[in-house]
Amino acid sequence: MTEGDPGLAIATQGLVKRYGPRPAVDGLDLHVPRGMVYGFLGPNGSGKTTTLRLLVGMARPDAGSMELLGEPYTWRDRRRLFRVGSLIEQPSFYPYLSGRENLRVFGAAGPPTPRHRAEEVLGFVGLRDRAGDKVKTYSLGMKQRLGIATALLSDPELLLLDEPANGLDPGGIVAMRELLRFLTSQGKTVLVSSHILPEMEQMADVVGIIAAGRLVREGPLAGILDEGTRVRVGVPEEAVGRALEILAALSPTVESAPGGLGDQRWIAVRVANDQASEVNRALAQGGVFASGLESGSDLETAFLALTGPAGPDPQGHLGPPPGWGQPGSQAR
Amino acid sequence: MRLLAAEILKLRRRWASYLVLGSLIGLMALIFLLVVLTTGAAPRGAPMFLRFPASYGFINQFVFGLGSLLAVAYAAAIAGADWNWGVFRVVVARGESRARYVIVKFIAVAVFLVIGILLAYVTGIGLTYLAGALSGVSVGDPLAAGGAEDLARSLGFGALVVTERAAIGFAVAMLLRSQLAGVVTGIVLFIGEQILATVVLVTTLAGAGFGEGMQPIGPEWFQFLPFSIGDGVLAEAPTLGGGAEGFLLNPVPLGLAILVTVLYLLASMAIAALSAERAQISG
Repeated sequence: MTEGDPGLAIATQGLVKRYGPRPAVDGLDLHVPRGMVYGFLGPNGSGKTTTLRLLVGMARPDAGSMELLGEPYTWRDRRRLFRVGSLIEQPSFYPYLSGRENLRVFGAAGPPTPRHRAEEVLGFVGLRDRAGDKVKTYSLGMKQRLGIATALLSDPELLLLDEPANGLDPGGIVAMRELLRFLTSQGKTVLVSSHILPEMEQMADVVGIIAAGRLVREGPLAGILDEGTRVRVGVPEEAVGRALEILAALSPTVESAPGGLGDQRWIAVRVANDQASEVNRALAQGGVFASGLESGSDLETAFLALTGPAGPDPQGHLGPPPGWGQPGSQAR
Repeated sequence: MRLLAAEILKLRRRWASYLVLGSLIGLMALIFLLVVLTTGAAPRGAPMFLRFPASYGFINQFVFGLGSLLAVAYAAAIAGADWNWGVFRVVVARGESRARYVIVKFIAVAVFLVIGILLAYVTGIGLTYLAGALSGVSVGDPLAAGGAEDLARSLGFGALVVTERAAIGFAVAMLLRSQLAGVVTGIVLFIGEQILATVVLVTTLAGAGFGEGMQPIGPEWFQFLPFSIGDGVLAEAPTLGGGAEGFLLNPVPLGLAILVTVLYLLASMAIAALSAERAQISG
């Protein structure tokens, strides 16, 4: 990658990061357009946080390349990070300093930050009243707000937020969503890593779904939601073959879905929005009685169809872990 | 400068800064108190160290002996806390130079150490006067009979030695990325080196057929170890005398001792900066 794409705030190509023999990020190709909220989705352990660490130079990739703000980027280009704000993993502070003092000491590192900026960002996150209190007295939600304030200190062009809604109350989540919307209206780019899908559905313009360190889907959220209704049908194991035949007549997109409990197996089928009710009827007419049925045209259904309800196992295989749903085993 | 100001603010707000100084001064005050309580019963009256300039030797032993140990622990705690609290990754993600951050952090620690040494020293002088008054003896003029020169030498050389020893604790904590591991390892290295030096000294003397009329030996290699080299610098400052090194070992020449001490200080900083620069932050 020699020339950057000016339309992209982040681009990665074949990005790989291993911890021991296990790839945490495995050939990731990410394309984050400028001026939008990009939802970076994936189950626990799928490589989201590792990707963010690579983007801010905390860790070094084993292979692949990155672009940040339209130019090739390596971990040595630390000054590029002057234009990036981030909250990665849990927010970290000096517990014995006040919120305001923490912003002051972080503002002294990295890009030049005017002193009044701390008051501005405290106002953005609604923390001005408690800014003089020691951080060790803060709740998780307040620390999260302060973490977002720290990320905003340098008025960045690109904001990387890792699970920013952690610990926030509903009012805080709404306020954060409005703040991010405001930032994108100012031409800034926001990448939000999360697995809280209803929240992302309200927030993101574009999503990338990662599983086992690889991007499994990327595109405008509206496009993914417009692909139709996804119906997951639970059928007895012995009826899977028959159910697949019946449903194949209804939709070209029918597949055995990951997951299942006991003798039940899931089948995923994508149908037109007005055909969802037809699925159960067709199965019943064919002599297969569904023991479970979930449908939706939402992000969660798309996410589960792509990553499986249990997420990938440590070897990167999608679907339930060994023993899941077997007689005598316990559900997690 | 704004980074240094921020680091100084952090140290000002940390109770460890005051605890370390308070411990040193408290122990020194306790010794003076014991002296006052026992002076009346002593057959030869007030001890020498209640008289200047000999009193400087006693203060030096406290401020630069016990003070060094506390400085190692303090510097390691400051360096390790950034890893423990996860704040180092916030600094890295803001694009700050890791090496610059680490070096400025240590400069702030050194500023606090020098201030602590001055405060402890002033307190030591004050305690000498107080103990003298309570014991009914005259402590003399602290600036007479070369006292001013002794004072300046003590403070200058002592500050260098304490800073160098603290730098080693700081570098160890940066390498180990842990507050507790840094403090424990720093103290173990400090005490371990003293024990090693003593064992090697005894072994060397035994091999040389130690006996009456023997001349001091050395300087020996173990006098150049990172913590021991400071003794060579402090040998020029007033001491109470009586230490084994005084008559068994020749001190390292002052110029060489200062040079080696400065080299250790710089090497410690280089190791701390390099380890921070190369660190991958994965959790």
